[in-house]
Amino acid sequence: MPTGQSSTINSREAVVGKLKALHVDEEIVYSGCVINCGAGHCVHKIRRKNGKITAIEPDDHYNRGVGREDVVLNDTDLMKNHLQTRGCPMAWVFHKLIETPDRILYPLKRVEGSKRMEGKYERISWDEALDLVAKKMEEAVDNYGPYSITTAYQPSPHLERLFALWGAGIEGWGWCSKDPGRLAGHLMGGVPGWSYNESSNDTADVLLNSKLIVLWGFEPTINHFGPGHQVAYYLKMARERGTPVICIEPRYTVAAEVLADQWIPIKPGTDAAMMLAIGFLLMSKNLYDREYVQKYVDPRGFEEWRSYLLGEKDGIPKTPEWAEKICGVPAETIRGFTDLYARTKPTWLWLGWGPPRKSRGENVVRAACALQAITGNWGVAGGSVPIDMGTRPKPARMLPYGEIPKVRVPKMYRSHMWAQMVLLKEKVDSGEMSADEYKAIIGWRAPNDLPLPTPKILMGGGTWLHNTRTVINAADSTNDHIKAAHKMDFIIWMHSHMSPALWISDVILPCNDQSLEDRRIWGGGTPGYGGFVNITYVPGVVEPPGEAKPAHWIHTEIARRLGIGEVYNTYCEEGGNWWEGWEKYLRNEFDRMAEELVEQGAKMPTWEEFKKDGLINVQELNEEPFHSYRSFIDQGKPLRTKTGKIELYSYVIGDESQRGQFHLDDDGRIIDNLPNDWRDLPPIPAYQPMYRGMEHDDVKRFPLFLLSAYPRYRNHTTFWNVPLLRGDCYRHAVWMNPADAQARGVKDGDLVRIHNNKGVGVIPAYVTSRILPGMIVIHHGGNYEPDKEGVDWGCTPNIFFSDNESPVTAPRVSNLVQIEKFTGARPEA
Amino acid sequence: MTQYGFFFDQSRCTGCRACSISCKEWYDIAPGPLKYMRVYQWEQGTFPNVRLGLLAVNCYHCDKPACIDACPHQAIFKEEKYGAVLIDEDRCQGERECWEACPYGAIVYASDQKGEKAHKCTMCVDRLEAKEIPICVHSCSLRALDFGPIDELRKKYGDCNTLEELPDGSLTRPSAVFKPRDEKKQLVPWNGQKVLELWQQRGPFASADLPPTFNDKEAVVNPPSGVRGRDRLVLKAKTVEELMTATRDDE
Repeated sequence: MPTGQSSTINSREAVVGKLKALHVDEEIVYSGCVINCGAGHCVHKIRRKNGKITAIEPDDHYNRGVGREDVVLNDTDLMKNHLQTRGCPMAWVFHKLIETPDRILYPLKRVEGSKRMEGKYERISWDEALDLVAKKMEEAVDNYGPYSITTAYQPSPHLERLFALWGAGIEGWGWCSKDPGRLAGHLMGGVPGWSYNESSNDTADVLLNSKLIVLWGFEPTINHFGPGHQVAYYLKMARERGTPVICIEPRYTVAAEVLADQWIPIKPGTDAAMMLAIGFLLMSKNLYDREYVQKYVDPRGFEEWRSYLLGEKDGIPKTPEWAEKICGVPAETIRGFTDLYARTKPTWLWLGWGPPRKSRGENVVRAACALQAITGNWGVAGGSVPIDMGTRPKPARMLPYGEIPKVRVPKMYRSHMWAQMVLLKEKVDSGEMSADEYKAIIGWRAPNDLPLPTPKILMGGGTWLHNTRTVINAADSTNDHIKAAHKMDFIIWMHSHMSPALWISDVILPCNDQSLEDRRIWGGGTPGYGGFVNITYVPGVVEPPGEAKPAHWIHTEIARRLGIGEVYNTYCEEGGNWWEGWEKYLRNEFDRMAEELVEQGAKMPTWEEFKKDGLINVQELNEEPFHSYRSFIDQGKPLRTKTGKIELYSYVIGDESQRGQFHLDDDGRIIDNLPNDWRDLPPIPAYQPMYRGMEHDDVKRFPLFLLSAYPRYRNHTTFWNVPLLRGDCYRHAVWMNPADAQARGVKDGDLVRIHNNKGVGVIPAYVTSRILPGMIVIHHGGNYEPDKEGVDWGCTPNIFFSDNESPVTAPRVSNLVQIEKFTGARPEA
Repeated sequence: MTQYGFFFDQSRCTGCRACSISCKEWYDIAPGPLKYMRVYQWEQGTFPNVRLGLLAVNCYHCDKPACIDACPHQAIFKEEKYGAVLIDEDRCQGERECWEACPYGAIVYASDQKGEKAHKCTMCVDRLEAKEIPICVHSCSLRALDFGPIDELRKKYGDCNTLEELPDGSLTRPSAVFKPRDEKKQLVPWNGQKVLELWQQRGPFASADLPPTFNDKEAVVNPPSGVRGRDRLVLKAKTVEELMTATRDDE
């Protein structure tokens, strides 16, 4: 076959023509990305044709046509976030979620005569579904009183508003990831409740000002502290500029390889021990920042902590020799680290949310914050308060159609203790358990004179769709939640995708996808987890399939049937055009935000321009990198602590008369994370071994410590059902050290059966030297896929967790398990 | 003809696969082994000296493309505008000589079946025609990738045309510039053997009768071969299964 010039040109035309034909006659639509990653909100450049999405491209608002952006940018650009907000790996396949086989298209009712967890549903109309929901809610309140309707986890903003305006229902309080941090912020810095007014700093501050970076259980190449993996990008640039980076972490993570100069492995759950030893050295060798401590740290707290660290009260000096036996970090390493830490200022010591997510996690955050306080790293450029990254203040986020009602229904349980709230109630009813003990265990935060809950109806869903936070696999002890669900009279759940986790429901209401099928303004208010935030517009790119509806609409319709429709949603009239009303609401929110931003000096687009362009970069207003606590450090304005200074000693927890008391914020709302019964939580950061850690007696039955880590290619369970990710990019497997694998005759890829007293799961093994023996990792968000015996073949790690935890903190993502090689076959469905 | 090429900074690559995923969805490629950008993660060494190998490899549209010479049907050609090496599917008979010849494993197939047509990175030539950059470059999370006329890339980034794990650049003269990964630095003293000793004990809060965390230190530092999974780089996978295993991780 001749290879003359002309045949090559013909080939080129044909080949290139074919490729071009994949993307002709498309419209471009920009949209913010809506998912529960707390990221600075990424912008998707979406291609649409004939009502379908044909591709998703990265944002190109800045540096169009540039790949390696930092080559063409200066530090001011980096500070002002003149960057493409590139999404994470999941960004490119959002549209693959729209038409999956498990998409819920119609309202569903459990088939008469079938049992929960059988998964037998029939289609009903919206009217029938909503009428039934309202009827059941009213019946429950009529028969059992107002505290008979509950949700698993916290209520969504919609549900919270609904309950509050209706006057019935109960709330769970507290947030899985950040509650130990919220507590530390409150006790040490006087930042109450849900306030985010004082956070830490933004990523530009780390890049431009930090002289040492310590990533303590923090994995930004995997976690989505965004936009995308922008935090990792900035940290990498910091390292390239010569800033030393140390990673302290049980596994050899990607961050340890790419971002860090050195990895220091540490036993999971023992972080506070190493931190205390660092504190011991700083105190005993006078390496702490005397001037800073004198000005900014409460002297009594400083003395109390010093005394504790030196062992003056308990006879146990928290020396590196003491710590190394607990945490597995050699004393020599702790000394060397402390030396480097003490003489390198400022240090960005950053704690991921994993280390505090253990029982006793309260101590970890407080210890980290205490170290940063006595080394003079709070509220200074390049330092950190290791709780929440932050940005310049932004206008408050879009509220659900009006102010959050000031009077809300009582918070009777810690969000994750929902199942125990139901199960233990029986023990109280039978006299086996006292009401006081019950309240302490479930995390009661309601006035003491209220009756105990009588949970009969469970409802929820409608936020962070696509399998995130489904009833079972975003909470503790999957099996306990199923047990509790079986005790409900009626269960209503709103979701976009079906999975066995929803099979406890009696009625399932189909929601549209929040990113691609709904309309909203996104990004106001709280900072993204990565200290980057902007404001984006989410226009709704495609029509939802079937009869899926926005969660706002669903709650509004329920509210109408409960007789509170007009106050619940003041924008969308009954019988009126939903989207017209919705547009009015969005427009109002935009105008309000625009006013605030213009006051700050921003150049705002018009409403129409914003809807088309989709991005307002609030960091454009930055004249310098952001760090918080400026009014305290720079202007001498006291903190809202008792002493006005950083408190290492809590005057609340140190005062027995405060036990059982409520604390209210300036709006008269209960500060839920300030424990009214803190059990044995000490008033200073201390070391208390975690419940069921690697030294617990039950290692005799269950010798492997299971740690759950956050996955890269999922947001909770979202994207589990997208084969371009699971299967193509990753395998959901249990990480095991070769010694543990070999002892069980297991090699990489073998199926293993994992069990403890809470549940059983089957999953392939990833045998790797990146993890040390005696511990294993299963990533959070594995889907719950039980066989007939309840063995979970999706292997959500939650099947192994228990609901026991410390007085305040986030639920543990750990427990003890045993593993054996699995032989046999998966039972027939 | 202006030869365009890629810059890959291995020190920034986290193996996130944004490049690989965005490429597939741009070209509407089904899940499976048709990965124009293959992203590898494998471990090197064992505790206490474990490292992670990370690499994203597409096609480097070489100056001396071995695939073009190898194809018995002249199905592969270098187009004259960007220097992109393209496969004409209509001429491809699935002989796999191109796969044999390419030292980078750039050629991929949808299955192991005989006659399956060859596919590979197109340099996003359709996007280039629309004045867009390749989507892998645009989507890279840590900006590890860059793209442009290869002469300009060499001026910007130097002329290193290989990495430790890649074939020598003199074989096919890839239109690519590379930066290798960072070395580790011991900022504070650390003794891996001491860590193993400490790790083996369950610590002062454990009852005396609890078993140690592990029994055999040898099994930790010297695991027998075949127990671990991704402990080597497989640039050229012989089967679909091998390719999928090599280009997947457990994160």
